[in-house]
Amino acid sequence: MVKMDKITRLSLAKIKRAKKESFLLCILVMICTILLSSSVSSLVGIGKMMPSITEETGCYRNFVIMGQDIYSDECLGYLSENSSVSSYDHFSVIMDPLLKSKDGDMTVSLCFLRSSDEERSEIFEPEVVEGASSLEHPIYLDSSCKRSMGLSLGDEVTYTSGKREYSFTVAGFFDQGLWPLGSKAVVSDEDYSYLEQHMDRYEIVGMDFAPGVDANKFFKSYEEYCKGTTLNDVSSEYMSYAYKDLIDTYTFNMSLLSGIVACMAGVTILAILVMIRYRIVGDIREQIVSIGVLEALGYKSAEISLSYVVEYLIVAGVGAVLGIVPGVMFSSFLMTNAATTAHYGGDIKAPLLPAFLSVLGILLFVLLISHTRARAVRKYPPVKAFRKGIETHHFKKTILPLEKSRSNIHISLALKGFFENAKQNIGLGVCIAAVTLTVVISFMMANTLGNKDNLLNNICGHELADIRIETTGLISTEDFANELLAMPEVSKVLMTSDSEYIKIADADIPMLLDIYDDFSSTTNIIVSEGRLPEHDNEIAFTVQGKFIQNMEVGDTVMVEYGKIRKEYVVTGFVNSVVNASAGYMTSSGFRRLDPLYTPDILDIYLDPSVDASSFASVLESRYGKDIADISSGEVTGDTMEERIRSAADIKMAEAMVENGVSYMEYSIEVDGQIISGSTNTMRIDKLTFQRADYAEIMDQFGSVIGTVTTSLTIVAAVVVMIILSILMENTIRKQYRELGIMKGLGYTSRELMFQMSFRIVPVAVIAALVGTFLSFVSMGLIEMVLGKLSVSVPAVAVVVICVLLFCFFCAYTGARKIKKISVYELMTE
Amino acid sequence: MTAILRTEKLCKTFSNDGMQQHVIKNLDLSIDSGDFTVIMGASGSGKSTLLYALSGMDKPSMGKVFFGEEDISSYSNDQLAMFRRRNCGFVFQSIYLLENMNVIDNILTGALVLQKNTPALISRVKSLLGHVGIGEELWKKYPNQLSGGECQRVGIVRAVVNEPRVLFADEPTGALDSSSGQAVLDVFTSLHKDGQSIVMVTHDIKTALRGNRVIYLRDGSVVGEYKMPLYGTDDVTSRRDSLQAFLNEMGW
Ligand SMILES: Nc1ncnc2c1ncn2[C@@H]1O[C@H](COP(=O)(O)OP(=O)(O)OP(=O)(O)O)[C@@H](O)[C@H]1O
Ligand SMILES: [Mg+2]
Repeated sequence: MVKMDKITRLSLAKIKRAKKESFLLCILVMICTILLSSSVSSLVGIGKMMPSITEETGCYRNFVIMGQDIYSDECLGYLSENSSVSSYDHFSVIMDPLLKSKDGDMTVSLCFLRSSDEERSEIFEPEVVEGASSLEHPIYLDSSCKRSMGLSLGDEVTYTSGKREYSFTVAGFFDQGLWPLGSKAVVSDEDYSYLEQHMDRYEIVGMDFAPGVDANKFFKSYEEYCKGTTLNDVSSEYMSYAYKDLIDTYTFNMSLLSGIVACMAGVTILAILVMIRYRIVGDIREQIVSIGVLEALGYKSAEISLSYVVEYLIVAGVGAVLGIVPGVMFSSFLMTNAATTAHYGGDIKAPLLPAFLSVLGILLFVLLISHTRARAVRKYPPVKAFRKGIETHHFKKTILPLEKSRSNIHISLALKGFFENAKQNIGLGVCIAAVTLTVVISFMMANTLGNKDNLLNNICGHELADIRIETTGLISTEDFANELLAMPEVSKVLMTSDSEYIKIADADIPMLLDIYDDFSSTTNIIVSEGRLPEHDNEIAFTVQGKFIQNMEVGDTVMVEYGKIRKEYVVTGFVNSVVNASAGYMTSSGFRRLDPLYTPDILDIYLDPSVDASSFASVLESRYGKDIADISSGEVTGDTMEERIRSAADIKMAEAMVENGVSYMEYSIEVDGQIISGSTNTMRIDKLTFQRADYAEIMDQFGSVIGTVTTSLTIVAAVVVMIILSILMENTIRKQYRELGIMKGLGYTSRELMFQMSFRIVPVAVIAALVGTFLSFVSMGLIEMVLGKLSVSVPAVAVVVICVLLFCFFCAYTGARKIKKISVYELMTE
Repeated sequence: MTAILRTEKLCKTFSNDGMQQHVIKNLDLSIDSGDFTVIMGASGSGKSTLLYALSGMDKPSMGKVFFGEEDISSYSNDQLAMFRRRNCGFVFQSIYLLENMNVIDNILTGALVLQKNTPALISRVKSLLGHVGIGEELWKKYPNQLSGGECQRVGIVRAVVNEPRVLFADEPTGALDSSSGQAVLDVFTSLHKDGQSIVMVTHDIKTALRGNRVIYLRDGSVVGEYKMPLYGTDDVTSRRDSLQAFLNEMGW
């Protein structure tokens, strides 16, 4: 005990002597603790979170979504007879992909259910507002909306879709379990019937499997069965979501973020390793005399090395204690985010054990390196210590003799210093390489993904018309297009479709087709390889698709559309960050699969001077009468003519809704006046601002990328600063005498600072090159997921140079202690 | 003779724990070009302090130091460094060679801060080394492989390689045995004969004999001065006796 006391005192004295370095090391350990504990804790936490949410809410784990045309009761019958399925149920939901919350510009992914459906899908025990039962339009939302939308009980919420508005009062919040279609909203049966007229209805079958069942395999046979029960030639609307895939989708972003944080933790651990090594080796060399004195006084060398271990444990311990609370908080933040992404609003707590274990790991690591390094003390018995170690390395051949050097003396001396300390440089090099990797990757991401315009124009993967119109199909889309094109505001109109799904034979992923008559008239669909389809036997995919399906340009693929299969030649791969599973085909190409295909969507490009939203109002007033609204409405109007028109509209709308009439016109003569009209006023089903909507999404995406990359760069910069300042501090202390002599010879402080900092340049340059190379490799991996991101090489070069300059700057300012060395004091010592 | 170094009311004060210690007090001194000036005095009388102030190693607290016409007392640290490399050479008691460099590199580190690396420079360094008796077999050795006297002679070569206007030395033989000390002093004498201005601090009469002017310092002031003919032009014993007499008078 007494002995330990002695050693602790020794350690504390050492810490006091090197206050600044100890402080910096402490900060580094703190950063490392924050990063490591939060990433480990959140990775573990996120992994456990979804199963526990499933447990708590009693929801189903696997889902199949089908259009009404596929679903029939037989689909459930199949399940009841199948031993793979342990439990199942069926619920209907209605959705509108264009739904927005009134005060936000973002579309909300909300599906509406009746409470009878919701109650069968999971435990439905909402916290309700007082008097919920008497509300006119009650809505029960999943509790994550509290966080994501800032809603509370009793709030009014209004959703819009096109010109329609739906208002509700928040009657309650419930905890939503696993669910493939965004947030659930439970509404009254009356409201449900109303909404149903305007929204698409989907049938969802939720199911749990017996242990050991391969969900995706089951889904495949189930799909065949379900589609077989219907005579309709269905192609698209069957989606299956297996438990594991669902969890992956919901937790992917936060797991990725935790992973990135974990990598940063790795860099800081490396930095800690390098720093402690420098510090101990430098300290032992510098303290050789005092070590000798201590040994002469009877300290065992093991005790002295123990004092080093204790020193670093104290410093690291303080850093760890400071870091653990922010670490757990950050982990909670990540987990809460992941939960919100999965639309779960319940309480989320970051697991503490992994956080503590990772801190313990850091401390053990510190113990280990300080112990192995401090054993060097043993090499110095007292006599050797008094003789300053009588180092042997000076007896080697002289590196870079000055006699031979023709370059600037300061650079020559710096290079000499570099080679003499080559071993130290390895650690520094690895750190700088890691930091370069982080910074360059961050830059590449920010440069490509963080740049909204670049995303929109080059890698969005879809056409971004100013206005996209979904037609009611009452008039030939082509005629409508020509009519629009004749308007002076309109510069271009393209016809397409966005509801045709295909599959590649033997692959399970449904792909949304982008179909255009001629891709040369599109602007935002850009290939990173090959070209876009021109002939009817050609198809293009996304870059991600290329990797997933393992295709090359020129390959022939078998494309499945419903029950039809046709071969196509792959012509190229398109950048697409929005939808990785998209296909691109010409209209004539698609007609090989569906001879009756007619486009039902118009992409309208406006003259740059035209305001999209005011032009949209013009279009809507001219063509946008809502068939569903009219058919269920009443005759209105003040004048006779108005009432006649209204009545005629109702008749036409009813005929269309009920009898599938596709075109009607009327002409009525009243008192010699002819009142005529047609279904032309009901041409527009939905109108969206494609470009503005995507810009919104990209903005969000961009700002997330921006935040992540900025924080990564800051952490990297701080780590570099700390490492270099400690390195410099140490080298200066080690070379105090030499530096004093040089000053005496007339070297200025600036020259010596330059020499000292220039020493790191060779290692920094090599490390930066390695780091840059690794960045490009990693970027290649990222591109497999996101599609080709054209990184500007000159810009990366500039960034790398900035990293190098920053390293040099840090080293230079870290060496400013040289200014304090006084020749005079040294000479009189 | 023109004065190469001149001080005006030079003061140097140290504060120790709030206590002001005036080490050099209003000192007016002029040192002529071509002289071998020896500064003597009791331990703690401020000899080294004066030497550092004269050579631009340290800044005076008050007063001025003129080096030729340049007033160096107002220079910044970096300006002083630039000044030193152009004008001053130093030899010290402790052997201040760079441990991690061999003999040649040690000298070149001093030389290249001012000059370009030319074959002429290298051959001059080599001839200087030969001149002070450092044979070629020692050129590639490191300081800790040389004797103290050899190191000191390498130090002198390093000090004069830039042809400084004044060579400063603070007890250059203090750490050497008498025979290697004599070898070092012979180098000083021969440099002086070639016209080198030298300012040297010493405790040792035998060393002081090499000069042609002795300044005696007490409590930071010059209290006496003694001139001698050039070393080697008179009888050593009588030279020694008269210097001894001067020092006795000074209370040495
Ligand atoms: N950096 C300093 N801080 C405080 N006091 C100092 C400093 N340097 C010197 N002194 C004091 O100034 C006085 C003169 O010191 P200096 O070294 O000039 O004496 P010296 O004549 O060279 O002595 P010695 O013959 O022992 O070398 C001494 O009393 C010393 O304690
Ligand atoms: Mg002295």
